[in-house]
Formats: sequence, structure tokens, C-alpha cells
Amino acid sequence: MTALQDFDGYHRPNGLVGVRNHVLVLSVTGLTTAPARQIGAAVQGCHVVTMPYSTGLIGQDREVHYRALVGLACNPNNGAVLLISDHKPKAETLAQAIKAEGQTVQILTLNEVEQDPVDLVAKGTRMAAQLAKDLSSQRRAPAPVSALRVGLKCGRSDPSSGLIANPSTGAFIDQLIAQGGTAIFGEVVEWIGAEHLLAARAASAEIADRLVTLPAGREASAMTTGLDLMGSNPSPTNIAAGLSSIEEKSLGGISKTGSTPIMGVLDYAETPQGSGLFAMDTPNYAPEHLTALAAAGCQIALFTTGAGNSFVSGLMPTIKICGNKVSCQRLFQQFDVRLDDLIETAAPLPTGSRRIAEATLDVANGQMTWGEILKQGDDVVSRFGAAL
Amino acid sequence: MSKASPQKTVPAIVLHPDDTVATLLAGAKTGDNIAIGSHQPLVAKEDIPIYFKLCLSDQKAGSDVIKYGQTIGTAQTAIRKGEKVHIHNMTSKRGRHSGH
Repeated sequence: MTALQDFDGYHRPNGLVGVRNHVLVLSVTGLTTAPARQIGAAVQGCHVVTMPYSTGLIGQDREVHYRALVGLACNPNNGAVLLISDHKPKAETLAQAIKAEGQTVQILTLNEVEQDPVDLVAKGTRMAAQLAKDLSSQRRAPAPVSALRVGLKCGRSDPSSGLIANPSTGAFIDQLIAQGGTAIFGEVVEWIGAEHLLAARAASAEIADRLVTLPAGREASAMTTGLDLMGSNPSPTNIAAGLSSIEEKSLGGISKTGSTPIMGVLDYAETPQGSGLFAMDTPNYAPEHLTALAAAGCQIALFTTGAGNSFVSGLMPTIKICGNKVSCQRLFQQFDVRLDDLIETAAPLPTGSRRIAEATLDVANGQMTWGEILKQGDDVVSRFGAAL
Repeated sequence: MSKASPQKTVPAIVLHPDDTVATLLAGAKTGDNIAIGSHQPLVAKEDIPIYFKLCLSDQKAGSDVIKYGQTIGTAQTAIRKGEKVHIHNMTSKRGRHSGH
């Protein structure tokens, strides 16, 4: 197997490397969602993230919300951040944390424009335009493949996911990690029935314990609400496509993680320390899971799908990978990597892995994904409880 | 009496030597031959869609259904060689399936 090549990325002051160079317009309160979107629409090169929640978050939500906002701002695909909020003190606290991670950040609040959202748009548009102008002078430069942190996701799975798309992805992840890269998987409910295989790969007894207790906890909370996991996972789409049980889905799903040791279990939106393969405590739902991966600093997501799942991240170019021949015919343009011709061949996995590696490096070098071309992509942070 | 279409051969895949099911790589009609690499060929006893599972040998009710070399559920009824294996005749051990 030939080694993965270097790619050309945007080198950040903190040593991270981006594969895109967004001005992130980050609205941290629902009060400024509309102005933030208007600024993003007016200025080339912006990506807009808006948070519907803000004041009144308590406990775990408060902690997760703050960590996710800092993480999203500091994703290396952003060259600069325009932070939009209601109150200046709150924005300044957040901006300090973002600055401490080496990210360029400017603040604009409703306080500064006497609560006038039209003025906020006018002022914000000028600020975002200057940031975009500054970023446009930056150039890509060579970076080793070890600078890549890749997020993993399955969606609308079917048996082809476990036969070809996931194991091919896993073979690529093994190669990426062997060369010093990092990958993060999550979707805890989809460890059920395969926990023993994940735990056997844990780098420590403590990690093995969390890999078993996290899915047990989610299963128990489903049971206490009377929810039949068989009714929700596999989903009706999964079942219609031929998956019969959560165990079958999980065994196919975990093959996208490859075979290397699991170096840690991260909390939702937590940034990994060090390189290698990490697990994360995330829900399955694509928007919440992908947002957590983006907040953890992943530059690219590999998203395997059987029937076809239309969601992509806004911050991480999301590479859609499919091995279902019917889906590939139906949605042919919309898969960035097609593996449907490989299932019946003699050595499908090395070929599948090579195609995924090529696509990942092409996208890292700037090639657009289908989701980017269609301007898809959104970000939403999980909620865990009630607000005040 | 039935206007059976001519039999065809449908490819399938078995992922592990311990597996009790194969995954079809094309849709099969009743009577189609199922070709599974070096495995003994068999005949589909019913229509089975693409990517669905087919039982490799007669199984008793209560026996484990095995794919990837791992248990993916329990047979709810006896399942014969060549029949479809799906949620109508197997249940998750972990999903606490309460009927459908």
C-alpha cells in the first residue's frame, strides 16, 4: 500500500491546518440569528453558524454549549471569526476563550448598535468583508497527512454499509492513523451489540469500561421512557433496506473505525489530546453528531450511507460514501465516493480504501464536495435538559 | 400452474465461516439459485430483496442468528434453508423487541 501523500492546507498560528478558509459568522444567541444570516449572505467566503439557545442554560447544557461554541469557532477550517451576540460581556468572555486557542476573533453586539438589528447587519457586513479580504491573501502550503483529523458518520445505513462502505472506510482510517493522523467516531447507541469488540481494542481498562457503560446508559434511558429500541434503531429506513437488529447495524457500523487501539472516549464536542482513534459520546442524529465532530476540530467528515442521507456539516466538507448499487444509480452525483461496483469483486476493500483516500486528499486540497457545491450544511449543538 | 419465470443465479456473500445467513447481492425470486463463493449452492424458497439475508441451513426456533461471526439476534420460529431472515422471524437480543 503506497503511503498517503501530503496535502496543501491553511496553516494556523496554533499549528493546526485547515482545509477551508471560512470567515465564521458565529451568532451565539437566537436574538441575532437573522442578522447573522444576512451578513453571511452578503459577504463571499462566510460560513454562518447560529445558535437558537443562549440565556438560561444550566448544568450540562451550559457546559456543553460553551465548549461547542469555542470548538466550532476554533475549527481550523475557519481563518477568522466574527462573533455576534446580544450583550458585550458575554461575547467578550467567549471571545477570550477563542483567542486563547489562537483563533482571530472580532465581536459585534446589539449593545453597540443600540439594539438595532439593521445597523447590526450594516456594521457586521463591513467587518466580515474586511476579514474575508484579509483571509483571501492567505495561501495553501504543504502539510503532512498526520495533520488531518477525520470525523466518522453512518446515516441511512443498509447492509451494503457493513459489506463495503464501512469496512473500506475502516481500512483507510487504519492507514491514516498509521501515518500519525486522527479519527473520531461516536453514535453511542450504535455500539450496542458490538461493545465487546470495541472494548477489546481500548488502550486502557478505563476506556474499555466507558465503551461498555455509555451504550448501557443510553439503552437504560430508552427503556425508562418505554421506548423500544427496535422501533427507533434500526430505523424504519434501515429495516426496509434489510437490517434486522441493532446488533447487525452496530457490527457493520463499527467496521468504519478500522482496527487500531481506541485511545480515549471524549465528551460531546471535546477536542482529543494526541493522535489516533477516539470515541465520542454523541447521539446518532446526523446534525448533532457532525456538529460535535466539527467542534472537536475535525476538518473532514467521512459519511457512509446506504439509502442516502442528505445532511452534511457546514464546517467540515462531508464526503458521502455509498456502496448500494440502487442508491448510486438514483443519487449518482450526490455520492463523492461510489463503491457499488466493488462488492462482488475479489479484493474490494483495498480498492475501496484507495478511492476514499484519494477523495479525502482531493477534498483536503480544495476539491469541493457535493454538499459544498449545493451550499448545504448546518450545525446544531445537542441539548440535554430544560432551560431556566 | 404458476407462470414461473426462468430460474436465474443470484450472487450472495457470507462474511464469516460461523455465519448462519448470507446477504444477497441482487434480488431473488422463489426458485432462483443462490451462488455464494465456495459455499454449497442453494435455492431461494421465497422472494428475497437485494441486501436482505437468506438462511444457510435449517435453524430451530430460539437459535442464534449469526452474521460477521457474531450473534445479531434470535430465531423466533424455525427457519429453513433458503428462507428470508428478517424482523418477521428474528428478534434482537438487545433491542428488547416488543412486537411489530
